[in-house]
Amino acid sequence: MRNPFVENTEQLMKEMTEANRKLLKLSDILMNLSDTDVGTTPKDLVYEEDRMRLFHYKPMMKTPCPVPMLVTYALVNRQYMLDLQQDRSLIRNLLSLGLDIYIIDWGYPGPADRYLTLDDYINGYMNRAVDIVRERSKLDKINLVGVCQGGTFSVIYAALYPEKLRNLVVMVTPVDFDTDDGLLHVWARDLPIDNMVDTLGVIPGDLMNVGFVMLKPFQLMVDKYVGLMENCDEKEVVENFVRMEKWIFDSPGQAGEAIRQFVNDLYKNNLLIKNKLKIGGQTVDLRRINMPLLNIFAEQDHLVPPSASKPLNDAVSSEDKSFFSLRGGHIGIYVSSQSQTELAPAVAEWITTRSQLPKKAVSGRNKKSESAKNQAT
Amino acid sequence: METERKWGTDFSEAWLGAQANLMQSWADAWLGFSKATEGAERAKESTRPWGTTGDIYNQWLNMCQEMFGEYWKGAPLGIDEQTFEKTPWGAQTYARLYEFWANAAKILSGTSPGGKGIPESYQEFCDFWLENYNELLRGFFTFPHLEPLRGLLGSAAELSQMYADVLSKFSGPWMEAMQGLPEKTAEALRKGPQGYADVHRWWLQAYEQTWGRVLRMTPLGLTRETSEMLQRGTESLIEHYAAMTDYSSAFYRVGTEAMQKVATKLGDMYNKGQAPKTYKEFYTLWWTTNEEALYELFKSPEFSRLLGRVVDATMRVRKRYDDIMEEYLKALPVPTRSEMNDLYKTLYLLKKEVRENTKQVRELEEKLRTTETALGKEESLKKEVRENTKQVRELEEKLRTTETALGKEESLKKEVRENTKQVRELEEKLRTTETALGKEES
Repeated sequence: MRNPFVENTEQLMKEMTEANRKLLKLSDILMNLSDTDVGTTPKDLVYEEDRMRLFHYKPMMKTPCPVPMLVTYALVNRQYMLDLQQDRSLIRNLLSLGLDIYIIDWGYPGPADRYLTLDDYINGYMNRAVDIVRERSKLDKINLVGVCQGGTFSVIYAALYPEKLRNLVVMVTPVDFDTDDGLLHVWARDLPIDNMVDTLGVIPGDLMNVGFVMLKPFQLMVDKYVGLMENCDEKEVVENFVRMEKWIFDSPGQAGEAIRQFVNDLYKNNLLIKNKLKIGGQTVDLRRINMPLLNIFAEQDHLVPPSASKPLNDAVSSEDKSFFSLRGGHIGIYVSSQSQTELAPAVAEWITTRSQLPKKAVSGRNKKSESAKNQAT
Repeated sequence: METERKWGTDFSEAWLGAQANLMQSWADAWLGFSKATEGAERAKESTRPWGTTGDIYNQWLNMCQEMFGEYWKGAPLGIDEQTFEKTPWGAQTYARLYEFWANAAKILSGTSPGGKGIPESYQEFCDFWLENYNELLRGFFTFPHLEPLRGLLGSAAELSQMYADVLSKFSGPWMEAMQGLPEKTAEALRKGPQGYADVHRWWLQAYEQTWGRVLRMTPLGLTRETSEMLQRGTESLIEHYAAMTDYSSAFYRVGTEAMQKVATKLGDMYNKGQAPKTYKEFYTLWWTTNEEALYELFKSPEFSRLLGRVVDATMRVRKRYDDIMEEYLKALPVPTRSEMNDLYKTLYLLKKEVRENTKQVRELEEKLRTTETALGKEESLKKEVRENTKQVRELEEKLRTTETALGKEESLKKEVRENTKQVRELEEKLRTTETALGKEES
């Protein structure tokens, strides 16, 4: 056997010299990083309850889409992935295209949150957030956009409260969990989640990260950092890398009872697609979803494979339903250039065309008050 | 800011100095190498001694590691050692990979011109690989939430030490009495990881039948509860160790296969004249081959079950560990996790109840508002009715007055009519009388 890289001494010397230069450059950049903030698009806090907070982004157009959309992200990781950096922000793009956006921040569960269930999250926090948006917009129905696990929550919510939703958009959302295409789906079958929850209470985010990193260990723990060195000449590249790094390892813990049910009922027993899932005593029947549906998935998603997302469209009774697929993986759906140039405009157009209100299409309660006002005048 | 600048300047100066030294040693080595190979034919370059450039490269890597290791520790931005380790100059991956393959190539190339190793060299090569592979995997297969147990559960190597400790404490006498263990251990060393796992299973089986039973023996007396707890803890540790051994063994097997694949691919590339031209190209070949090999392992149901078993065993250790900790904490004036969990549950249920009550209160408020509105309307209606009744009565009164007036009018009318009739009759009589008078007059 011959050593493949030592034989060419000249080349080796070049590599070493270049590496020296880049190392110094990276050192310099890391010492002077200034702009690594995430989630910078302006927004107002409009409601909070326990750890959950509901934000309203400041609209960028004078007359935004008349029906607001509420974004529900996963409990795993943080919602600012949708607004990671100014030039790659799905939120910012959608705002600039005229949408009116609210977003739920689930916060970081502490030890006291170990008993929170899916019922608390969906029938509790999420339902109250929807009601707040309905009240603020004076509309009976709003648009719901669910992302990843938040998408699964949104699907469940739409089946429980179809009367409150005008349109449903789900992104990289698992619905049919009985697939071998993603390692998470394979591993979850043997995951002793009951023992984990009983022992740990709130499952630490770091432990979850071990699992995620294990999906592609060499890429995520080795090559990613080598790649950083390759491109460390540009400060902007390093800043973007740091932002992404922050997001990846900024992982909230998982409320014990909620993740227990999520793994047992969804990953292991696949009850959602079978219309057998129960939330707060109510059976979740996907056929009750009758509003327009846009199902977005990533073709090379290793966390939520298309085979887990696509069956949703066959399970609902909506007549207006469609798919939108993107090349690339799970993360790319938020930050890739295709996401910014193709996904954002497509979502904005889909929502806008389905959110046109007839004149005076206000909620029943508001109709009465307006009517009373008219009488008074 | 000033401190930061000074810190950066100091480092830069030190770094430049170190670079100068390195370049000098490199130049010296290069000079020596050039002299040694002067006049040699290009075709013989493949038989070059590894030492020259390899040593320089290693020297350079070591310097980088030392310099930057210290450098990041003092960084004012709070960049920790991990930051450095994540750069290619960190000790864990990129740099170590070079060292490893340089040495591996040395071992193998030293055996025969064709690179086909004799068994002893190959074993040495494998051992070296496994040691490094384990080091590499350590970072992402540990369980960070078990910080207090990290030393205990962190890696197969550490587990081996733990295993030895447990062994000496709990089953040392038994092990000493066991005949044939030295032979089996020697066999394991010859066979590598798989052999090690086999020996472990053999040992575990023997343990279950002997010491395991002793450890599970029901304790008696004043310290019964504590003893039982400690027994359970030890038992869970042994179970965890068994699971981790199989788990590590699976990784070792894949690591070895991946290493062989890299070597094969490299050989093929050489034969086709497509050998990597840069270290980066080789590195890419290395990590992608490893990733593919691990993916094949990960997607198998066997691995999934193994992973589940490891996590389950880890949780049991953690649970036992917590139980023991709580037992000792009882003597201290601090709340235990179990006590806090009771409070959390009460808090959760109370919050839920408060929310439910708040919801009901709001619903009742809404109902009340509706009722009040309805009551308000009733009052208004009553008032209206009262008003109407009053008006009706007034109208009735007026009607009565009018009727009375009308009655009088009718009577008058009748009288007038009567009078009119009488007048007419009188007029008629008068006319008749006048006519008669006229005739009479005439």
